[in-house]
Amino acid sequence: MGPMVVDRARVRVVLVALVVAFAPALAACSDPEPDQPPPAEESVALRVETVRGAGKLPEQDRTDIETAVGDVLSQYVVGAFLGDFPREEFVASFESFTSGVAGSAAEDIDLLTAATVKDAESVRATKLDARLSFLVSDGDVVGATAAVDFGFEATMSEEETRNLSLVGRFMLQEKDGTWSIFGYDVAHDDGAPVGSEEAS
Amino acid sequence: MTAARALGRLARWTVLAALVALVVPAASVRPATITLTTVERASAVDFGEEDVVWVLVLGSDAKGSTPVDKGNTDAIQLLGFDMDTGSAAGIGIPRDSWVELPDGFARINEALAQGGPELAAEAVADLVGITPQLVLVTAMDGFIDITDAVGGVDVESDKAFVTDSGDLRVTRGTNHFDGAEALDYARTRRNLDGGDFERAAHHQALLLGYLRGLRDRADEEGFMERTALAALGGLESDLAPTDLYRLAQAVTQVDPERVTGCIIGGTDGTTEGGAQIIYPDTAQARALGNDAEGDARLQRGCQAGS
Repeated sequence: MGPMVVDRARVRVVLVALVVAFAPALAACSDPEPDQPPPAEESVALRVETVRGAGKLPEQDRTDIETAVGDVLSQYVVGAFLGDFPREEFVASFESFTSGVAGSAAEDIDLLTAATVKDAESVRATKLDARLSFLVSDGDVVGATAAVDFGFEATMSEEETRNLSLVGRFMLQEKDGTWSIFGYDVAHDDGAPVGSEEAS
Repeated sequence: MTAARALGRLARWTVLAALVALVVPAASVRPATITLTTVERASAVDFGEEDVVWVLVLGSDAKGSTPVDKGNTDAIQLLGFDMDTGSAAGIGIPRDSWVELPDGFARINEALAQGGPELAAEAVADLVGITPQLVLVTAMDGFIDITDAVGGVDVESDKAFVTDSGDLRVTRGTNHFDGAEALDYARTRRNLDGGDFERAAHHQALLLGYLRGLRDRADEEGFMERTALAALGGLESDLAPTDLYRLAQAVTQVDPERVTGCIIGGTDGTTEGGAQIIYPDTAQARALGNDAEGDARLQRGCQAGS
């Protein structure tokens, strides 16, 4: 068995509308209340790039799969890090996780969501890159790894912002036409300063 | 998967997450602010409802057009994985172990050819007391293909020796083998003082090498998919491709430092026809099974039943 074909030809930007719909900037399109804070910058869109395995697939299949996986990741990102703030609810972001891993995710909620900045005034995405590697068996895609590099900026107050990041991989499977996340291995930085020093 | 995550969190480290704002006007040096933030890891993989999964791995000597499941099994390893704690246990069974099969007493390595993976699993379950949920069978070509697909395997050896073929000189310490070399190492028995027992220990050393390699490269783009694809081509199993992929990903949750292994002992014997066999230490086999069944850990040592 040789290695799968490398295909770096395309970068798909998926679910722009969904991500932007939750960005504070969109709300700014309507007349803001006079005492509301000025609108923050928009969130970036999720960029999905297939780096391994797509060469074994017809063009249309690849497009469909990228979109389907992008939808799963977008649903997670929006539920976990974007949307309205301050808020308490983050568990719903695990809807696309298999039942066997959703419980673990709930225990890891501080590391998989923006729960540590739940009191923020707003959170926007500064980087949402996902690089997909597909497992193609007999012409069918049966699984994928999404190597993610996500960055967020949480506005805690007028004086304070925090930069959060989530870097690592999500493991996805396709069963009966539905994609779901069955595993994760990620590093999370909540951006909270634990110390500081002056250097010259 | 609490412990696996806890292990991940042991890898917690504090980093310089931001920012050296280096603005250096012509005649002055301005201070740069360094902010320390905390990075933590989280990991979990869903592989079914059971935290502990037992997998029987068989190495068949089938060659050429002979079906994999019609060969004798030179390698018989019962592996337990606790996806919750990240522990794993390996119980190696010498191929010449003399056990009762439906057609009478025979070497355990004939079970696969006599009755397929089901009988092989049954024979192991009778000996150890653990019924494997999965049986994976590979033959020589598949073994070589899988090993080469993952870039070879690093094996620790506690002594130097030359393989039975005379083609491979194994050194004390770490050895990197490609597929053909790994097979040569795995098949060697005559040149080993411990014979079949020592060969079974070598199979465990190989498996540990694969585990380390899998974990070291799991973050490499496409590596897990390439590995799973090679496994799909080189293994005989009833597992659906998706489930094999999930198993491969789940195995990356196992911590090599939490792996324990034992080889079932026994005494040499000969059949009425003069063939060499091993009378397995059935008490030890059961004790090892009892020890590891619930948590994939061999906590009482390898001589627990003797």
